Amino acid sequence: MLIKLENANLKYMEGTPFEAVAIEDVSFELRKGEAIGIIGPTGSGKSSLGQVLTALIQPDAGILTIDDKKVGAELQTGNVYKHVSFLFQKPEAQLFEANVFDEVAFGPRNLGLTEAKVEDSVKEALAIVDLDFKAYSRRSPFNLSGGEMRRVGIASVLALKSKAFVMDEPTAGLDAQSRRRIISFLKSLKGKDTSLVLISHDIDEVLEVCDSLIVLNEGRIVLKTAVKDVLKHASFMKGLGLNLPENYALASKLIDCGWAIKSLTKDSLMQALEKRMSG
Amino acid sequence: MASTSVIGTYYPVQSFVHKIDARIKILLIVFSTVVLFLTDNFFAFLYLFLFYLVVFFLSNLPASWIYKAMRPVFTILFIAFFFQILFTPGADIYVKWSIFTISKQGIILGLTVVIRILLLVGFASILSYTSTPIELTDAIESLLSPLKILRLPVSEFALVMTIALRFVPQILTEAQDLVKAQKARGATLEHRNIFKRGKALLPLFIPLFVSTYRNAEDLGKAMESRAYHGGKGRTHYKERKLMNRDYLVFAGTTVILVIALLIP
Ligand SMILES: Nc1ncnc2c1ncn2[C@@H]1O[C@H](COP(=O)(O)OP(=O)(O)OP(=O)(O)O)[C@@H](O)[C@H]1O
Ligand SMILES: [Mg+2]
Repeated sequence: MLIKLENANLKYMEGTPFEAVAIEDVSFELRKGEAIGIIGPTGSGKSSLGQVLTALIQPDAGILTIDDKKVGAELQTGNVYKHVSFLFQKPEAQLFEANVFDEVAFGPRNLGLTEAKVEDSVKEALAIVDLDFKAYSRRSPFNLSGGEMRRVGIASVLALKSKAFVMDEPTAGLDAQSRRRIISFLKSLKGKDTSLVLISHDIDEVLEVCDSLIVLNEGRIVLKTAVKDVLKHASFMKGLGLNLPENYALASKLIDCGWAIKSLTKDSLMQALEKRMSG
Repeated sequence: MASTSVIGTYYPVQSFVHKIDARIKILLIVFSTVVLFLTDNFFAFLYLFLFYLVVFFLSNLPASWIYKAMRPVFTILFIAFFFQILFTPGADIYVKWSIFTISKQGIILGLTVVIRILLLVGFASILSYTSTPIELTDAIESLLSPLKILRLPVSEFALVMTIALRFVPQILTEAQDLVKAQKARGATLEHRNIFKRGKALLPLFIPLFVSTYRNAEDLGKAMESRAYHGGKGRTHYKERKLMNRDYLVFAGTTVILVIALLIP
């Protein structure tokens, strides 16, 4: 088991009038190569859970094991980044180096890689986020556009090449092309035996990338389901304000009629339709 | 537990101290600072400490917040204490080593400094726990309003104060997230070497500076686009009037503070 969290509770500002329950009695397991989506309304505790899973926040109660090592005992919290890494909601807000290369290289250098390996990681990470190595690596991260900064921020976490990434809304606010690029990268993680926790507001994105998903509401896990069974829970999710796109119902009907459709997403539906029409 | 720092935070409960006009509270803080620096009598300190406890009790704040308010100054206090002890020449010398002497006078002076700062921070934190940022700015503006005759930009100064106070919680939250974000990229702050430690702070300070600057710039533009043009002719939604209880508290506390100076 790569990440295992048992019965975690977390409150912010406990014992003050500002007290806020972030997560309550949450257990979570992530296996090697698995991709799990976390969705839920705003303030439901998604970001908090993501940070607990990567040991960036210590829960009030609960046990976290990463790579079968108990965090805090067999694995120091300061070393967790060598196993799993968290991508913050606005990674463009963490840039600080003089140029894009050093920015992306910061993590790999902390891992103690040789400078040649560092450069490889940087190149690879920049390619994933669609930034040309030659054109960008010497530029200051602060003179980039908002979207470019976001992509540098994402690259600087991807460059760690962790066994698992926990990503907090990585595509929110990106243009369609960068978004597609990142989604296809996330899908490719499976082939590399890299695990993923994808926190997202975009259900379509989660269904495309993940095997299963959990729904959080007011800090509790209220639903755990395989992605292929998600339609069974459509009305429950609607009650939480999480509407499944209408094309899912259509795709599902067509599957029932014997169409070969890989998943419920719009893309698969389009592919299947095109195939039918041309053949 | 995930805790957030309490500097610059208002603690929203109902209490007698919350109800007192912020102008009165600020004036009384100034008085108590003067008194704290005029006296060096340990009985007077004890008396002021008891008074502090009474005010704290009347503020309806949780007891743990006394400690929370004082924790940030512990390091400074520690340093101040040792400087006083080591560099105060005195008659009753206990230890002497090169230029350092530890004397009875030095220890007393060290303790005096520590007690003064602790009480000062204690009183000041009650002011910020029990008054909202808006109340504080309005109070500062009102207290400084005589300076308007000298054509000093008092309203602007007060506005700058409000904006600064408004950004404090946001900057603190951002700093917390940054610590975690850089930690997730393998940054460590625990270097033995002081230069390395200084360098390790860059991943925190640069983004914090950049985002604060951007926030300020955005706010400036937003205010301009809403036709802000200085303090002239600006009115307050609610003009605060001093009430009887404000005058009573002012008089009573002044008496209490003067008594501290009379303690033999
Ligand atoms: N630093 C903090 N201090 C105090 N309370 C916090 C803090 N961070 C989050 N909270 C509170 O904890 C709860 C969960 O917040 P969290 O950020 O985990 O939600 P989320 O599901 O990620 O929301 P969003 O979709 O808006 O990103 C909310 O009620 C929030 O107000
Ligand atoms: Mg969030």
